[in-house]
Amino acid sequence: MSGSTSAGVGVRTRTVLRWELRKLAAQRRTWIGVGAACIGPLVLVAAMSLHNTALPKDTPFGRYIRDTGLAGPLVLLGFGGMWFLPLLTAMVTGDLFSAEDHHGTWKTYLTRSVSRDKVFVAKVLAGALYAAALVVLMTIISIVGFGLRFGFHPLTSLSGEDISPGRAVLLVAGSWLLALFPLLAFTALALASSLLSKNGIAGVLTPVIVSFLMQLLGFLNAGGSTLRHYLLTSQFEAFHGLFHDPRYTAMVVRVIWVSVLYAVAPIAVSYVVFRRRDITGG
Amino acid sequence: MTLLIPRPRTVLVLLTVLALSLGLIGCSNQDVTRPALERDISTVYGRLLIKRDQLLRAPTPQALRVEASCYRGGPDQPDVGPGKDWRCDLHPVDTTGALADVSYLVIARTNGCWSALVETLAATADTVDVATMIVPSTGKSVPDPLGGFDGCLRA
Repeated sequence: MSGSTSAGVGVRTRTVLRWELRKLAAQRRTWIGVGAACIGPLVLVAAMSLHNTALPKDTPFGRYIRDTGLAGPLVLLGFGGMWFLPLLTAMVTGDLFSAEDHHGTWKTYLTRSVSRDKVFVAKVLAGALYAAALVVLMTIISIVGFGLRFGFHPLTSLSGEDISPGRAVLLVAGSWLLALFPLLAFTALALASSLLSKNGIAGVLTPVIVSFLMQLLGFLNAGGSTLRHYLLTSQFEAFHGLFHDPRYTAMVVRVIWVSVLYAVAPIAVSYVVFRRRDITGG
Repeated sequence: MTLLIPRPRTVLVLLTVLALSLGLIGCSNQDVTRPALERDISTVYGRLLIKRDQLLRAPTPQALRVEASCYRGGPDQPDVGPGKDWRCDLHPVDTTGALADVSYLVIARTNGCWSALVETLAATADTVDVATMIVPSTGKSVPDPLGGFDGCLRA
C-alpha cells in the first residue's frame, strides 16, 4: 500500500494528535526527559550554592551566578543548551516513527480511517510540543530556582549596564524562547532519522552526533566565523545579542531563518518518504 | 566486477558542494578582531567604571572616554582571532583629565565572547574567584565590577 488514502476524512488532525500525545504520556522515557528537565536546573542551583564550587567564568554571566538569580538560567542555557536540550528531545522524538515499525502497528494505524498526512502532521506536532514543553519547564524552573536561591537582583549585561530584574526576567524567558528554534530543527532531524532508518537508536543518536560534530566545528573554528554563524548549534548562543546595547538584532533574526532552513529539509524528505512508504508488511 | 561510475549530475552536485565548502573555509573571516575588541571592551569598561564609582559613592566621571589598545602576545601573532593571549591596555579620560590606566588579560572565544581579568589579579586568578572591594559607607565587601568582566562581539 502506498500513497495517501482517501480515508480519514472524519478524523481530525487534532484527534490524531491527541492519540499521539496519549502515546507519549504512556512512555517512561517521556517522563525521564521531563524529570531531567526539572532536575537539571535544580542540580546546577545546588552546585552553585556550595561555596567551594568555582564560578563558571568561561560562560557569559557565569561570574554573576551568585550575585543574581537571573544569571543562572543564562549560564544553564549557554553551557548546557546545545547538549542537554537536543539529547532530551531526541530521546523521545527519535522514536516517534520507528516505534510503529518496531511494533508493526502501521497497518492498523493507517487503516483506521486516518490519512497519512494527518498521521505525519500529528507526529511532527507531538514532537514539537514535547520540545516546547521541555523548554518551558526548564525556563520556569531555572528562573524560579535560581531566583529563590540567589535573589532577583539587577543583572549586568554584556555591555556593562544594569538590567532591572523585571526586564531581565523577560529577556531570560526570551532567550529560552529563542533556543526553541534550533531545538525544533534538531527535533525535525530526530523525526526524520527515526522515519528513514525505522530504528529508534538511530533516531536518538543522529541529532546528538550532529550536535557534537557541529560543536566540534565551531570549537575548532574550522571555516572561520562564516561557517560558525550558520551551524545549528551556534544558534543556541544567539541570546547573547539580547543582552547587548545596542542589541545585536541580526543574530536574533538569524536564529529563526537558519533554524527554519535546517528543519525544512528533513521534514520535507520525511514527508515524501512517508507518503510513498509500503506498509503492507506491518 | 562491476565498476561504479557516478552519473555526471551526481559529480556536478558533489563538485558544487566541495567548491562551496572550500569557498566557505577560504573566506574564513573572524569575529574577533582588534578594532571590534577595542570598541567593545572600552564600552563595557566605561559603564562598569561608572557603576563602581556609584557603588563606592565616589564622584562619577563626567564625559568619560575610554581609549583601548588591544593586541595578542608574541610579535608573530596577528591581532585577530580567538585565543587566551589577548591583552588590552585601557586609558580612561574624563573632564578632569586622564584617570588611572589599567591593563586586562583577555580570553577571546570562537563564539565572539570574551572575558577580561585585570592584570594585577592574574596571579591570584586560580585561588580568588571574585575580586572584591569594601564599600566605605557600609563596610561591606562587594564584588568589584572592574575586577573581571565579560562581553560578546557582534557575531
